[in-house]
Amino acid sequence: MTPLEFLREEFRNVDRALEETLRYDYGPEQSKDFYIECAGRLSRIKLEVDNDGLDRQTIAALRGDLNYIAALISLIERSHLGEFSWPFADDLRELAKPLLREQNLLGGQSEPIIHVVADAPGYRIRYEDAVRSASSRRRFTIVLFPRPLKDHVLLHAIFGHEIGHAALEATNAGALLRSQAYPALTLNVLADEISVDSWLNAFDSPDDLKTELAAYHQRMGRPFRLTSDFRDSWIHELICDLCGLLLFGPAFLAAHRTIIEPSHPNPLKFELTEPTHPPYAVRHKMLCQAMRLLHWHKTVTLHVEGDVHSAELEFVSSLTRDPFPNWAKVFSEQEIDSAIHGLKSVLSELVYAPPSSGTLAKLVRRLNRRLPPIVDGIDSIDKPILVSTDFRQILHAGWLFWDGRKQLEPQSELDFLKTNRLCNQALLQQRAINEFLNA
Amino acid sequence: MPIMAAHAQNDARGTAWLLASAAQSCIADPSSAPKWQDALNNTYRLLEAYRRNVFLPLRKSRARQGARDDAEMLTLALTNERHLSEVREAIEYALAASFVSAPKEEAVKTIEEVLRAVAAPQRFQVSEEDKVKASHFFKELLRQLTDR
Repeated sequence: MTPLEFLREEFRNVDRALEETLRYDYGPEQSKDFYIECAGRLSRIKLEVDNDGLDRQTIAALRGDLNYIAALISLIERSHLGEFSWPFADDLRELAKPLLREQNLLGGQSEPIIHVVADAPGYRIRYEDAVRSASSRRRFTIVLFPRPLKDHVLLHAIFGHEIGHAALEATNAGALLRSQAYPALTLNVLADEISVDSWLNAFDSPDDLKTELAAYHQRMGRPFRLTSDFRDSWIHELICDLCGLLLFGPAFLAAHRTIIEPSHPNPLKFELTEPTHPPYAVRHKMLCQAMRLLHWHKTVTLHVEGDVHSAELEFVSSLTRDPFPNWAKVFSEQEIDSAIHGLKSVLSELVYAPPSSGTLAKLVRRLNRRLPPIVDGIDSIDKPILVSTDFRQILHAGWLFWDGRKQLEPQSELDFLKTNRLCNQALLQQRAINEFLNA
Repeated sequence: MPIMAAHAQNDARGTAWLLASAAQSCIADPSSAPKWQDALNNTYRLLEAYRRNVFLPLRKSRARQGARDDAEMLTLALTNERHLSEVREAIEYALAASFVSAPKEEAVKTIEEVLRAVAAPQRFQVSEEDKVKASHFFKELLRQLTDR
């Protein structure tokens, strides 16, 4: 079989695989878009495959594109509705779409196809870069939900950070986010290699870190340096943390702390051999500063809300508690404020808006009555009151309930899983309400 | 490394090769452009990503740590395995060879205008000189990609 014959054989195989995949019944709207895009890519590859005069370089490159489509097709089989919170996934899609939209050659814009799959380890969003496929029309963005946490919608607020990563890799939003947030975060400690070095070796740097840096020096025969690649990586992570906070509000910080803190036995240290992420303490401190600058360290609920107000006091004070030393403060308030300002100009209407005092109290009280946190009620002529509540406000209420539950009356016995399931149910009900209201 | 990785062009260089090759053919023979609209659009996206410095995802190190088990089927090949930096360098060399001293921004925009004029000649026009430069750029890019 010649290389061209094998390429044609592979083409037929991938084409067949796509048709066979359609036997399964997956998420309704998304599988249609997914199929259309894959079929479109195959038809564009076919234009070349049918050509008898293909050189070996083109054959090899087309095989690469075909292999990639085959991999995408296999992903659709991993998108079973029961393995992740699909109401959350739908909300996430709506949040990410405007950021990942891109300009086309002749004007007009393309929207990404955001495909959700359940996966084993952690939260991820993979954005298809500009040299992933020559035959694409719309880009795929693959959202990976950790399967063991399929019910834990409160933790899913961490996706705000992942949306930041995807947006930074998108052509339009990426360039804007960099230009708006980078300058403010690279004025002092993260300005260059020398300034990082001074900070790491400052008189007040943690003793454990000093010991580790000395051991590194001895082992490697040279002092540790945070190279520009890794410094960029730190800045990216910090920008993504700020994006997450701006997109998801206090729920993001609650999820961030819950998920990330336990993986740092020493929050002041970081991995020296592959320093992709700044120390946890630096990230937490920056987010606490940002919470204050956004005034989210204050309660939304008014005193009149009684036990819910007390619960919120407990929630915001535990959330913004910062036990870490001043060394971990790498940005001034002014620098963070400027970065927030820049990010807000890019995220614009996507930025989280907290609910009113009354709404937040209603949502929390529903949870305390073991009901999904949506706004409900009956008006004066006995008609149900339907209100569109932002899904992030439901997560906000869920975290407030969880962290402040000891202040609520009567005291709730809901565990974390059940709290999450009720919030997940609320997202589902809210979706139905929104569809009714928008009909 | 998986056996399939032995394919020399089974990576970003291969994609860039296909795009440059389609763009080059369309400039040489504008009548073929209608069937390569998507490839021309993807070439534009590639140039825009390069121009706006969002070409190289910065998560390469993170990918090294643990991506082998997270949706690997998405061909989450590591950045270095996908040879993204080679594509970036190839574009840089090709720009330098075809636009000599013109600033990167200006050169990329000229090529994009040529792509537009090829994709929709009734709406966009460019000079022959710009077409020649753009053609030179893609020819040089193909040569660079073959060498890397």
